[in-house]
Amino acid sequence: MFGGIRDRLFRFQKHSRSTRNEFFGTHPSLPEDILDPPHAGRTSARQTESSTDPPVQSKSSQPAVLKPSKTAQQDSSTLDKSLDHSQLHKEHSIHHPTPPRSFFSSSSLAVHPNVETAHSSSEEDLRMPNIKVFSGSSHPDLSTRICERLQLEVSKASLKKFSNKETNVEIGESVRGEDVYIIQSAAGEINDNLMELLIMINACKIASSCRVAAVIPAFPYARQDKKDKSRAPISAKLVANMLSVAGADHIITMDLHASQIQGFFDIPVDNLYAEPAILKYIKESIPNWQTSVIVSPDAGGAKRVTSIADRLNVDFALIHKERKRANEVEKMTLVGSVEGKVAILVDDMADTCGTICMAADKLVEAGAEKVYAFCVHGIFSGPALTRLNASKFEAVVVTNTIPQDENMKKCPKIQCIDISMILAEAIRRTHNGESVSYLFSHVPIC
Amino acid sequence: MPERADASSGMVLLTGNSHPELAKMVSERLEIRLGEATVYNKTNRETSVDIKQSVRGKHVFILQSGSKNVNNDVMELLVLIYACKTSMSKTITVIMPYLPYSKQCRMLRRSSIAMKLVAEMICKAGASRLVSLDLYKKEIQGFFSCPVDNLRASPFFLQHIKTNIPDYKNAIIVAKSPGVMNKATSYADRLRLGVAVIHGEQKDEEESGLEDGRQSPPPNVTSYDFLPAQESKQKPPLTVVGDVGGRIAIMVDDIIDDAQSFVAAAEVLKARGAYKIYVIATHGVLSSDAPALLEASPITEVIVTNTVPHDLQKMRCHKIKTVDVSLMICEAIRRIFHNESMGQLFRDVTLDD
Repeated sequence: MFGGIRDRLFRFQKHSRSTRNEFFGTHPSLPEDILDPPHAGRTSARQTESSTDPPVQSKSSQPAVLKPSKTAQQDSSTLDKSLDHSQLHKEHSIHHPTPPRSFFSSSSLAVHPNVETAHSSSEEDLRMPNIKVFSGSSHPDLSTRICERLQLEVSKASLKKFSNKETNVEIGESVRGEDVYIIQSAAGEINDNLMELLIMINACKIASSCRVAAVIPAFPYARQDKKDKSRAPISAKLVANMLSVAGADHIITMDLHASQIQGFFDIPVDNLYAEPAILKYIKESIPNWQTSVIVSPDAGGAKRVTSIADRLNVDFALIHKERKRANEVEKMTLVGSVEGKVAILVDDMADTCGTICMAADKLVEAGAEKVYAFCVHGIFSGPALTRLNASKFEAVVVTNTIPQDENMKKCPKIQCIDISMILAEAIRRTHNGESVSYLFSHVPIC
Repeated sequence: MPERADASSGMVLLTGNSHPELAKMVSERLEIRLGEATVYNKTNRETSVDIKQSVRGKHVFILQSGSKNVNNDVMELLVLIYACKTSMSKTITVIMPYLPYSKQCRMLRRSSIAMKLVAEMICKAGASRLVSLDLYKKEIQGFFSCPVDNLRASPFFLQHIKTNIPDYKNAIIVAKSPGVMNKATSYADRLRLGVAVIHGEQKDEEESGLEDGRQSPPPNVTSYDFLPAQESKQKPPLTVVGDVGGRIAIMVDDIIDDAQSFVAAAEVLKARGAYKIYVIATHGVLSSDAPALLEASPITEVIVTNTVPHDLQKMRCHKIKTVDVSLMICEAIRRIFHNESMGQLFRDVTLDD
């Protein structure tokens, strides 16, 4: 409680300064002189890293892969733009990330008149004011990562269930006048998590928060977005209506199944893309990517695949599935050629993985040397993991919009790209009122 | 034409000025007279609607399609709907075969979603239901807060292909761009033919997004090695993925507006060995000098439906053939009026279509 009062006092003090200045300070655990290059003798280990060590790692030079120690180093090194570039790639010591800075200020390390006073004050000064980030129970790991990058702590909320299985949400901190971000993904028990999200939004709204934004990396019911059969519901529209009614003012998602879902809402929706992170991963981790072929496992993904193929300047192909008819086996035809090349299958969701495993068989049959799969949302339900273990994939790469720790243990072929920095940057930019469009083509930090 | 008075049937069919011929054909098939309403522009260019018969307690069906004067059509529709609503009609069903603004259905940088705005206006004006044909993207159904029926023109086209293209078994369905792949696959499925994709066409400027100087930070961050800028899409020249040599190429799309991309695709297909090239498009908007371009291109025939009026274009280009879909619209109206199931109309439609 005292921390809270001190918090507000310092905020009031800083009221006259511009918001930018707050970020030009150093983390209190670092030595006084902020002009020291970050690799000079800092070894303050981060306790949080040891606990979240994913079991599978292949190459250490993949900055985008989920490796907590690596990301810490990348954070600070990439943020200090005025450093010598050669130093960045040599040092591998672990040190704290410096507070987030805006990307277009290369003079960020100039001595700032407020730095001296910033030192003497506590940690709260260096954080962004008036923002609270809550985590739902679907993906606490992602929320922790996002908050680390924002130099915040996950705000306290107790999420429990009553004995009759009703969700019980209690917000543990004051949110009056704050910008609230609630991070909840469509993973695990989707209906429970959706209900929890709605109740949290409503709780923050009626607690007089300034603005409530829901950060939903994987949007629930996104595939039921059109009436393709008689009497089929458009559940995505229903979810959009429920979120608006609960009181959300802003939605941040990643790679919506169809970008038209943005139109289902009357509130602003930011649809971020994992494509830059995937491209980065392909360039850094797949040997011979320059001669690879990007393949779409079905007709609907053709547009996505051609976009990636164009950016990498490689060929593309697609697999056309002919529907099952009476007394006929489902036939898959390959349109295009993969003979003697590395095939990269790209899809937006990996659910039961039936289609992509059959596609992999087809590609190997057609002469592909190796087959990789990239999916943004790795749902992996039902027999997916057994299918993948028995499949011909070299590696299946997903992002951590949905928690992947359990899946990576059960299937060693699964690799995970960490997209928390994209979400954290989107939150920071939305909170500061800066443009988010930079994120559509760049991967921040990493 | 049997002169059944509207008063007994309880159904009133009204139309704006967008497509009078289609309205006439539908009313003939339904065997009712068109409702008496005059829709015109006043001298100050404002739309004025005058409904001369009673619509109180009736089921009103408003038939309006997009045409050359898009904004006038939308305004006429909204005023008609509102006039019926304030005149105590029981239900108002909007039949809009070609939905204008349907291409602006998603956010591209800082644009607006115009389709969402039009959808909200239609629902707010008082429409209780919408019927359309071959929506650009099926997700547009979710923009409306009233029920939307998305009819398909594909059964008509399949019939036309089987009867009018003699050796259609030696054809291949070509998707003009990767976005139309779903539609092409659905046609190929039902005709048991193969598919091919054309890639590398010149896309609109809106898609790339790097020329916009409003992006922050300035796009020249390539000086920093560790924050590589996104490579711009290097579009290859038009290529065909798939084999079209010695076959008939059938290009399938939903709207044919500016024929430039179709003509460029046809040139490539011809170069790759296709000996006949057909273009099938549901909505033949055919604006500016599309007829002249089509006339001079290697395309054999352009098959469109009569959802959008294109008589003038037909006179200038003899390759354009029309398929009549008023039967489907009439059937939809009848089934809605009698509260019957519309499942029969979607019987042969696959999931991708």
